[in-house]
Amino acid sequence: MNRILVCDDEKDIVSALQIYLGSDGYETVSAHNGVEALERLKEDENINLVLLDIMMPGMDGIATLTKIREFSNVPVIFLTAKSEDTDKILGLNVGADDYVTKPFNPVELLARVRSQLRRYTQFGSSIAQEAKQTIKNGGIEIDDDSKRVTVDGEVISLTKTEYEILLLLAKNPGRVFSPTEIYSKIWHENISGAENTISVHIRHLREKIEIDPGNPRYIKVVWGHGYMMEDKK
Amino acid sequence: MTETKNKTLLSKVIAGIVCMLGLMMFLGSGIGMLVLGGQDLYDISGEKLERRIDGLVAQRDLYRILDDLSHGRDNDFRFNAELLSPNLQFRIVSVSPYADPNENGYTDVYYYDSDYSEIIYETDNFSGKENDFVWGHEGYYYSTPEGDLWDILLDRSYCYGEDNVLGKEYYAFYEVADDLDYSNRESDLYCQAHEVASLLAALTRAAAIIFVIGGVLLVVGIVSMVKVTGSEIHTVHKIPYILVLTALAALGVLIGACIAALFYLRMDLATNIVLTLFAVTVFSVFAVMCIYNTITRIKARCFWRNTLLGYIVRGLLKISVIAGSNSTMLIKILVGMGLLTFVQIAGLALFYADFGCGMFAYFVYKIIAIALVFYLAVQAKKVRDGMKRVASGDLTRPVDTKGMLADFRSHAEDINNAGEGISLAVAESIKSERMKADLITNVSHDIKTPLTSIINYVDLLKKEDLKNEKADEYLEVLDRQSARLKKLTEDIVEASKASTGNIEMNIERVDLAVLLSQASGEFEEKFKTKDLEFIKTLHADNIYVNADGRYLWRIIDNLLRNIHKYAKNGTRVYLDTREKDGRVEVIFKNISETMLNISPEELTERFVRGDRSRNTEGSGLGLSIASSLASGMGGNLKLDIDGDLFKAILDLEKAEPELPETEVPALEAPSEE
Repeated sequence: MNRILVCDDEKDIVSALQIYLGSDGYETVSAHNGVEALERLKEDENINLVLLDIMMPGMDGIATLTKIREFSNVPVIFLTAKSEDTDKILGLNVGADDYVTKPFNPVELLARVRSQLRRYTQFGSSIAQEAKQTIKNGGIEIDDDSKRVTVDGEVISLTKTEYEILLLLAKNPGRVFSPTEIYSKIWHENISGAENTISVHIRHLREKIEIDPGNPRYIKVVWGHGYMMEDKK
Repeated sequence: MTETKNKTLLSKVIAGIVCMLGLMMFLGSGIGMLVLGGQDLYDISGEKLERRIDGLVAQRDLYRILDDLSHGRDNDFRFNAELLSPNLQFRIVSVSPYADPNENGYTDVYYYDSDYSEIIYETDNFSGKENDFVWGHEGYYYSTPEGDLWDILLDRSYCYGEDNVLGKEYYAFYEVADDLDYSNRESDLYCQAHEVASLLAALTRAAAIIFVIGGVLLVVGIVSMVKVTGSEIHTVHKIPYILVLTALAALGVLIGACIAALFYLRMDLATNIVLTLFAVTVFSVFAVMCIYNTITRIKARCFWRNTLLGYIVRGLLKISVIAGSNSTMLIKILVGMGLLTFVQIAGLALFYADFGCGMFAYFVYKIIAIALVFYLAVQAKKVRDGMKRVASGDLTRPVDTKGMLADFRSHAEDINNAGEGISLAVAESIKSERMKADLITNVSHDIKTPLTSIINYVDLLKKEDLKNEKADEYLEVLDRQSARLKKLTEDIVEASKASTGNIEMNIERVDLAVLLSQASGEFEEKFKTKDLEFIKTLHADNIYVNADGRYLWRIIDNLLRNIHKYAKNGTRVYLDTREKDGRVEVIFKNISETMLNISPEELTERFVRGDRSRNTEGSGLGLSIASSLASGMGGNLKLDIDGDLFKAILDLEKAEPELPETEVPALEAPSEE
C-alpha cells in the first residue's frame, strides 16, 4: 500500500486530494505547512510520494523540498498555482520529480502520481531486465523483440506506424526529425503532400504515451522544425 | 465731441504760439547777445573806439590802394585823396614771384603819405630784409594773382591774362600817426560810431532781458504743451527720431544761411528785419511742431523705440535673444573678437615695422589659433558624442566633463542630466509595466487556489450519485463555468505579459511549412468533429520566417481554436500563405456560425473595451494574445470581417531561404535490427 503525503495550506484542497487518492486506493497523510510536512516525513518512513504546494506560509515548498532532499529520495510532485516557466524550471531544479499547476485535472494528477510511484517502486525493487533488448528513456521502455512498449510499467498498444516512429525517435533522443525525414525513414519514399500524416500519427502517439498530450514529457514538438524525443537519461 | 476737440486744438495752438514766441525771443536774443558780446561794447572808451575805426578805415583804404596797384594804376589814383583817412600812412611792398628772393627781389615799394599828396617810390632803397616789414602796427598780406581785388575777394575769377598765372604778392602795412589827439575829434564818422556803439550796448542789455523773458515763455509754453498733448500716436510719431532732428537742424542751418546772406547783401535794415523775422518764424513753427511730436512720443512711451539708440539697443537685444539666454557666451565672443582685432592690428603694425618679425609672429599666431580651434572642436565633439549616445538610448555613459571649458561643461552637464532624466523615466515606466504584469500574475495565483477547490469539489460532486436530474444539470453549468474561469485566469496572465512585452522571444529561422503541417495535424480531427473541411495551400515547400517557434505555434493554435469554436458546421476553412515585400503572410479564412456584429479592432482590444467583445464561451483573450505575441516577434496580426467571412492575416518577417536545416546533422538511419 502506497502512502502519500499531501501538503497544502488550503485544507479544502488537502481533503479533496485525500478523497481522490483514497478512491484510487492510496493511504494519505496530510500536512498544512512545510515544517509539518518535514515532521510527517521523518516520523513515517513508509511515505512513498509527496504532493507539495509551493506558496505556503512559513516555510515554502521550495525550502521544504530542499530540506527533504537532505535525507530522502522520495518522489515529490509540486502542486502549485505558479504556472510560469521560470517557476517550473526552479521547482524541477531543486529536485522535484514532477510539476502540476493548479487548478489541476484530477485524472491527470492521479496519472502522474501513478507514474511516479511505479518508477520509484520499480527502481526500489530494481528488477533487472538486462537480458532483453530494450530501449529505455525515462519511463518509456521499448522491447524491440516483442514490439512491446511500456510507459512507467504500463503496456501501451501502438499501431505499426506509431511504433516505428516511436522507435526512430527513441533511438535518437534529443535529435529533431523533420516530418519529411520521418516519412522517408518510415515509408522509405519521399513525402508528397502527406506531411499532415506524420503530424497526426505523432499526435496519436503522444495521446497514448503522455499523461497530458498538450504538455508532453517525452515526445516534444519543435514547432517549425519537427519532433524529438526528450532525453530523460 | 467736436467742441472738446476744437478746444484742445485751440489750447494746442495757443501753447504752441507761446512756446514759439519764447523760442524766438530766447534764440534771437541769445544769438544777438553772443554777437554783440563778442564785440566788447560795454567798456568802450572814446580812444579805443576811434582806434578801431581808424583800423577799419585803414583796412578799407588799403583795399583801394591794392586794387589800384594790382590794376597797374600806380601813378594815377582813381579815387580822391580825400576819401582816404587823413591820419594814416601806408606802405605797400609788391613781390614778384619770378624774382630771386635771395637777391633784391622786391620790385616795387610804395609809400603813401598821410595827406596823399605825393606818392614816394623807393624801389632801390628797399633792402628786402625782414625788419623792413616791421614798420607799422598792423598789416595785410595778400598772395594774389594780379587783378581786381574785389574780384578776388568775391572769388569771381583767378584768370587774368596768361602772363600773370602766378600773381604778384603784396604786403601792405599801415600806421596811424602817433601824434593824434583823440580827445576832441569832431568828425561825423566818430560821432556816428559813438552813437552806434552806445545803441548796441543798450541793445545788448535789452537782449539780456528779452532772453530771460523768452526763456520763461519757452518753459511756460513747453509745460502747457505737455499738458495739452495726448498720448495718441500716428505715423508722424513713428518716423525715426534722428530724421526729425536732422530735418530741424537742416532747416536751422538753411534759415541761418538765409539770414547771413541777407546781411551780407547789406539791404535796407527794415527789410532785413522783416525777412529775418519771417525766416525765424518759419523755423520756430517747425521747431514747435517738433516739440509737440517729441512730447507725444514721450507721453506714449515710445520715444526710445524710434531713436537711433533705441534701434541699436533693440538690435543688440535681438542678437542676444538669438544667442539665447546665454548672454555671457555672447559677451565672451564679443570680447574675444575685440581681442582678436587688437592682436591683428598689432600684428599689422609689426609687419609694417619689420617684415621678418611680422612673418614669424604671424606663424606663431596661426599655430595658436589652429590649436585653439582644434581644442574647441574636440570639446564640441565630446558634447556631440554625448548627445548622440543619449539620442541612441545609451543613457549609462554621460559625457566626461573633466577639463572642459565652462560653456561646454554646462552644456555637457545638461546632457548628462537629460540622460539621467530619461533613464529614470524609462526605468520608471518599465517598473510600472512590470508591476502591472506582476500584479495580474499574483492576483491570478490568489484566484487559482479557491478555483482549484471549486473545480475539484464540483468534480467530486459529479461522481456522487445524486439521483436528481436538476442537480446534475446545475453541476454541469458549474463544471463548465469553473473550467472557463480557469482558462480565463491563465489567459489573463498571458495576455498581460504579451501586451506589456514581458515575454522573452527567442527569434530564429522557422520553417513555416513544417509548422503549419504540424498544426494541421493537431487540428485535423478536431475540425472533423464539426465537419469542417480544412484546405491548406502553401505557396512553397519551404517557407522560412524569423519567429519564435513556440509562440508562433501559440498564435496559430489560438487562431485555429478560434476557428474551431466559431466556424459554421460543414463549411470550409482556408489556410493560405503568400509572400509580399520580404514578408510572409499566413491567411486564415472561415465562415462564422453567428453574425459578426463587431469590428476587428474590438476583437483584439479585449482588455481595452470589453462590452460587445464578451461572449459566453472562452476567455475571448485568444485573439488579443495572438496579436500581442505577433507584434512581439516583429510580426502583425490583422483581422478582417466581411459579412460572415472572418479573415485573419498573420504577417511575419521572411527569413533567408539558404542554409537548409543544418543545425541538426543527419544521424545514421535507424538501424533495422
